Order: sequence, then structure tokens, then C-alpha cells
Amino acid sequence: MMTPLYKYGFFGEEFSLLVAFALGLGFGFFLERAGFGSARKLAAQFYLYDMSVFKVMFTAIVTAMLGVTYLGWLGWLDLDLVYLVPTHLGPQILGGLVLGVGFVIGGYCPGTSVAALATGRFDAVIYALGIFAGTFVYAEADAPRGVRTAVGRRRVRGRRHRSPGLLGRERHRAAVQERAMSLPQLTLNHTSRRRNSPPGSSRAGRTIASSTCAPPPSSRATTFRRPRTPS
Amino acid sequence: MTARLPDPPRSPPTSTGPGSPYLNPYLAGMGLGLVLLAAFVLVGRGLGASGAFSSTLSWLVNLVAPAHAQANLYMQDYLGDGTTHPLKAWLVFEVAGVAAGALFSGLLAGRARFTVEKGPRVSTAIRLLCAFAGGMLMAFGAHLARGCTSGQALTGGALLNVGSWAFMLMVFVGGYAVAWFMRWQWR
Repeated sequence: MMTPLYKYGFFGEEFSLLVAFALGLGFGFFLERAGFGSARKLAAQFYLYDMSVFKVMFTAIVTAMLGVTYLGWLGWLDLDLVYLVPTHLGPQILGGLVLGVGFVIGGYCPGTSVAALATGRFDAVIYALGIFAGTFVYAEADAPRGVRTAVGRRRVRGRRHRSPGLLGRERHRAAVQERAMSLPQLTLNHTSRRRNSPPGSSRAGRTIASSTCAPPPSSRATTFRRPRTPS
Repeated sequence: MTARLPDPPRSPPTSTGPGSPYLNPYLAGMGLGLVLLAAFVLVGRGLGASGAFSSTLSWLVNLVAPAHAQANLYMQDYLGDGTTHPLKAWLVFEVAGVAAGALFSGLLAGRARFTVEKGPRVSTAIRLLCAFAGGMLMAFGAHLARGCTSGQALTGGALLNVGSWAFMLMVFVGGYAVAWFMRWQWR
């Protein structure tokens, strides 16, 4: 029997959503068991008086890694069909830094905030609202209506003068974020074409699924102008 | 398990209030790892979280201002072509499961209760403000890196993905870099 079962057609998309819920149950259960529904427990990692984050995270990584390796050797798991987030070191390094800062300030990461808000932590609710707000700003900054130019800088300048609907300081922050983001975004677009299709490899399967965490719209690289969608 | 290191100073208690003690971190890690492995074997992808927030946001904006949402390139990707519901996404179901699983575990252990997680020196309002700001930063970081701690660090880490390991190291670099300045919030 070959796995991943879903990619080998053992079940359809509808059932995969049920599987997603079941996997989420396990994920949330162990996150809470480990104490990751508490921002103080998570933040303690950064003050070195509780190393649980390291212990749990790297144990999980090693466990899954061993499983993947052995199942791959046995020929039971087709590793080419397991989705890999493509590597773009620039944006990933910058994103990791920003995310780490947000972790210490906010106390959670997106997954653990869900576990925390489910167990009644009100700060996690506010944190989740912050994620929504940040995503909204990102969406507005990164993907304005109408024309997308290939040259990120020019677009940034143009938008900074217009940027409607954002309050004073927010506007400034959004502009700074935009400028910071446009560069990696461009490199990302350039590299993704090259790396997504290594010659002579059967890795096409890796691009089947969308990204695990924040699905990358691959269409962005090719779209410069999209017609306005009528409402 | 022979020579034990002396216990590090524990100025603030790490278990907050009542409820049974947390599971041994190595056992919890193995549990998480097995769930992750099951995800690879069953569906051929790892776990994630931040994508569910993007789907939900796109859906909400589409409810309030459909024209605006459908004209936004970012949200278009999550709304799709309109044939399927935006919330009918893999990560949305997975994150719903996370909430249910965590609630189950929390109730079982007596740890589920309405409270705000913060250090003793900070007011609730400031803590909530920080939570909001941290959430916003997290969203920027997760979108830059195309993934958060679950999708990049955990999933990509287990697959020995170079970019994911770079991301994971930078998360801790960023965290430790500002930890000293934010210590009033936690200790």
C-alpha cells in the first residue's frame, strides 16, 4: 500500500476535510497537554526558565522525521508527494525574525493561540484579532485593486501617497511594512519559477497542494493586470 | 537520567493557577510528532494554522464588502472562483479541530477557564494591547515566510527543509533579541 493515501486517491476532498478535523483534534490536544495554551508557559522559553517549547518542538520534529525516513525507506510513503514549502531564504529569514518578535510581544503563535482561545484565554482572542488585522493590512498593502506592476518600488511609492482608510500611524507602519515586503516578494517571484520545476524530476506532486500555512498564490508571479471582477 | 542539573531560578510560576500538571514535554512532543506523521501519511501535507486565518478573513471581508474582497488579489486566492465556500478549506477544518482538541484537553485537565495570561507586573489593558500588536506582527511574518511555526518550523523542520530550518532559527533569534525588552510583560 502506498501513501499519502489522499494523493493516491484512497479518498476524496470531502473526506480529506474530515481527516483535517481529526488531525487538528490531535494537534490541539497535544498542544494543550504540553501547556502551550498558556502564553506565560510559551514566553518562558525566551527567558530560559522553562524549556518546554524546545523540548516539545524538537521531539515532535525528530519523531515525525524518523517516521518519514523509515516509511520512505520501506517504500510505504512516497516522499515526492509530500508537500514541501519552497525555500526562499530571504523572505523566510526576514519573516522568521518578524514572527519571533511577534511571538515574544504577543505571547503566542497562530496555532497555539487557537489552543489558548479555545481554553478561555482572552488575550489569545485579542491576539487572533491582531492576526486578522495584520492579514488585512497585508492584503491591502500587497494586493491593491487594479494594476500590479512588476516593479514593486514604484507601486509602493504610489500607494503611500494614496493609501486610503488607514489612520496616521497605521499608514506609516503599513508603508514601512510594504517597502520591507516588496523586495523579498520580488525575489520570491523570480526564484519560484526556477525552483518549482527542477528538470527531469518527478516532483510535480509537490506543487499540487497549496502551502501548508499561508498558501502562496503562485499566480501572482504571472499576473500583472487582472480584470476587475464585477460584484 | 542520572545527575540532575540544579533547578533554574523560577521567579514566576510557569503553571498558571489550578488544573493538573502538564504532560511531560517529551511525551507531548512525541504525540505531536505522531499527529504530524499521520498528516504526511494520510494527506501528504503537514499541519498549519495561519492559512486558516487568511481564509476566515477573506470570507468575513467578502461578507461585509464583496466588491472590495473580490477585487483584492490576495483575498481572491482564498475566495476561489465562487463555486466552493471559502471556509471549505483544509486548514480551516484542521484549525477547528485544534480548537476542539485543545478545549477537550483543557476541560479534562481542569485548565480551561476565562483568564488573561500575563506576568504580575503588567496591567490587563497593556497585555491585551501587546497581544494585538504581536498578532499583527505575527501575521506579517507568517505571510513573508509563507508559514508560521506549525507550517514552517514543525512541518518543514521534520522534512529537513532548508528554508524551514532557517526560518525556525530566525524565530528564536528574533524572540531572544526582544525578550529582554519585553520582560516586564512576562516576569
